Amino acid sequence: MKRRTFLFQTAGLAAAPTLSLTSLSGCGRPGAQADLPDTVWRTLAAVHAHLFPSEAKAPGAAELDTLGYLKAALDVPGFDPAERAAILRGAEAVEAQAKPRAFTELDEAEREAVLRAVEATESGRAWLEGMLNYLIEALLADPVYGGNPSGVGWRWLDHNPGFPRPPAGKRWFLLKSL
Amino acid sequence: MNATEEFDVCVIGSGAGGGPVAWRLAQAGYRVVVLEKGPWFNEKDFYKDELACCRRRAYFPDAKTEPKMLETREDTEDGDGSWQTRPAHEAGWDLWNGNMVGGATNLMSGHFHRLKPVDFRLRSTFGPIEGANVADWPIAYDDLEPYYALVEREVGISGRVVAHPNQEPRSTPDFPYPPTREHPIAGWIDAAGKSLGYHPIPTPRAILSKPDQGRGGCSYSGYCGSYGCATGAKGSSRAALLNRAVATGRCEVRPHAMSYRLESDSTGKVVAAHYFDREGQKRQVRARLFAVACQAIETSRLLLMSTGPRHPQGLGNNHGQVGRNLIFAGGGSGSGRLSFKKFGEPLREFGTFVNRALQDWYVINDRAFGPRQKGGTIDLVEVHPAPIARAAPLLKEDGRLVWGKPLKRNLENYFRFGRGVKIEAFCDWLPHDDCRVSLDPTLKDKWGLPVARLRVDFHPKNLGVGWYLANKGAEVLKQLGAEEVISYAVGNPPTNLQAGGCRFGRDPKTSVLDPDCRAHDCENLFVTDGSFMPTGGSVPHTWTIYANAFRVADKIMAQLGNTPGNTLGKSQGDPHA
Ligand SMILES: Cc1cc2nc3c(=O)[nH]c(=O)nc-3n(C[C@H](O)[C@H](O)[C@H](O)COP(=O)(O)OP(=O)(O)OC[C@H]3O[C@@H](n4cnc5c(N)ncnc54)[C@H](O)[C@@H]3O)c2cc1C
Ligand code: SF4
Repeated sequence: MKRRTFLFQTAGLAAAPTLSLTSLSGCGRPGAQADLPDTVWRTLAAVHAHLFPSEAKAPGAAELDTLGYLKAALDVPGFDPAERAAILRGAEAVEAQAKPRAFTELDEAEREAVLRAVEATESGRAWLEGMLNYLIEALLADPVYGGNPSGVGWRWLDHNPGFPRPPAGKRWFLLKSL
Repeated sequence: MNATEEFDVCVIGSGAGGGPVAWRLAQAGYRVVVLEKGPWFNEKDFYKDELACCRRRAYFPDAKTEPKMLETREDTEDGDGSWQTRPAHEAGWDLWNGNMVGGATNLMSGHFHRLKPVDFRLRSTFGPIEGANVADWPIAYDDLEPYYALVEREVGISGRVVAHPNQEPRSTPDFPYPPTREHPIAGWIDAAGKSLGYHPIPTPRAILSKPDQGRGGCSYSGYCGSYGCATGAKGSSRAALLNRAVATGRCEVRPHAMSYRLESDSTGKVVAAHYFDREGQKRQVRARLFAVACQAIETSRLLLMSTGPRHPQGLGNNHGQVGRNLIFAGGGSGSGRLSFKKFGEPLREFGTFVNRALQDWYVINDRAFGPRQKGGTIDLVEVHPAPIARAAPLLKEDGRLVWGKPLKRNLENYFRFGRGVKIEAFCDWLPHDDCRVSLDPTLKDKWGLPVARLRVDFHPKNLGVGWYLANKGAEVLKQLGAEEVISYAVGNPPTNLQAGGCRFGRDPKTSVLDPDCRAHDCENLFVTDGSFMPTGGSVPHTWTIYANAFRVADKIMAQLGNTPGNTLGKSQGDPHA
């Protein structure tokens, strides 16, 4: 009998899988809530635009306001300072890979090459995976969290979000402090 | 500080095991206190918010400050890998299932099945199984049947009885509430199943199909399992039982009360439950009798932490049995996809349930598979619509990250294709020596308490039966025209379906509890969650946990005797009185 098991299958009965990365769970010690430097935000904006490009018939990072979403996530009280630091380091790694130019100056093919090179390192891959996770959250989480303005992501994918939807006063981190 | 207080009964843990005891005793006039470690959420705290329910786990303890230690075997191709030990969350497991008044029942999807008479006599019917500690139950199906019927009314179960070869005996002809509304897929499963000679049945749900008992009816909100219910329709212990218990004026629920020790005196009786309150202050409550229902793993942990003069190894543990024979629900899984192209507009219906099950192979009589043996249940359910969880797997392909336009096209294809149906096959999780709970010698939680250490492995027979059942489910999905049908057996436990650890039985050397679920070695201590189960049946456990807790409530009342102020039948909180 082979022992091969299926790790993705650990909760039964129409339960929603919980694929959140622990590093993104935002439940660390309360840390400095200082914003990231502008240069870092510019790099992140360019990375997001590459990872989720805008198209005529499909929203991209800009329409989904993925940066707004990320900023709101970083502002959650108790956001793990280690995670914040990792986001910063990842952006620096992208710029280091792009040298001698800035990532924002590169064309699409060059950006792709830089990000694939970043993906080739273990920490770079974890960082990109984290960014992609924030992106799909910005695409599909309730607009109350700062992304997916007016449900543009849901509309694009014909997704019905169900009801009742969360009001601002009941966002997850506020529930946690009840 | 209010160091001492007197109650008739102190219930620890407010989920499926705790609610029935609190409600029945308060209803009968006893003074009850319920200690619950989590907060007291209500309908106004539950939204269709995937970050809250699932990705940021707002209704759960923080896995880092309240960890568990996990021992599992290394995943190797060909058999016994060596044991690996690390905190459970580092292995990607969360064994907490709901940290709030009502516990995991707030989040369950409420697919409910009774056990069948054969489940109470597994060992005498099929004989011993090598490497497994299978035991008969010390009670019979007939002892529990009236309580299954009671749960249908008190918690509220919607369904429709349809004759099939393995239908268990019932004292009432049908369910008190008509079935919840069905998605057209249910009818297609019926047709496909019947054409194969099988007997698809409507799955009973612990959901009110119409308003009753001061609770709303189901609003078909589209997201049920893993999400709290905003209407009160879901039969959580909180909405269905505790609210009524509190309304009697005789039941006090204390949220944010983490019980860490049951104190016993020189005669061995429990006299007080000690707990940390929200501010981290130590408090205690005194009562005549104690009922523990913290969900299987945490119940064993609390008993092991509760040493005393007559219980040097922990309560109920004078024969070293506490924590042994932990069980989950064994089985298989799978899925298939139905396309909008093929099934058209009806497939787009939103919010209603698939609600189908097959129990044709509850006992497998198939020469090709071996001697007559215990099989199980196949539930066919909607693939959970939670969108981020569905999108996340698309971020990787062949070990590489996917982004840009390729990711966007994959998302469009996946989301716009159609609907998914999931196969959930349940067989007995065979109890054995390598599935147990103990206290970790070093790892501590945020209160400085030793955490539960779990050793978890599965019995190979689970995989055989899991495959068998999952393949039958797949056959039905293929027959109805599903695409990309897959099925497989699962060795990892479903972490949300836990039981065992304090099995009941007649022999104190091999069981923790007597047939009434009273600890063999402590006359005023009862365990009323799923811990009592020596075997779990081939179904999810919760209907049985509820039913047994109602049964044990009657035993507790018999032990306490008549109380002054007994107002049974007159309590304002009981609409059925
Ligand atoms: C997503 C999901 C879907 C599910 N779907 C189904 C289904 O379809 N069908 C089915 O039959 N079952 C289902 N279940 C399982 C069902 O919820 C459980 O079987 C049931 O809730 C177990 O009851 P319990 O009393 O053992 O534990 P719980 O209901 O979890 O209650 C235990 C309570 O004890 C509290 N507690 C723990 N330790 C302490 C302590 N030391 N002091 C004070 N309080 C403490 C906990 O916070 C919790 O509130 C599902 C579960 C989940 C999570
Ligand atoms: S309203 Fe119905 S579908 Fe929604 S959570 Fe409650 S029981 Fe489930």
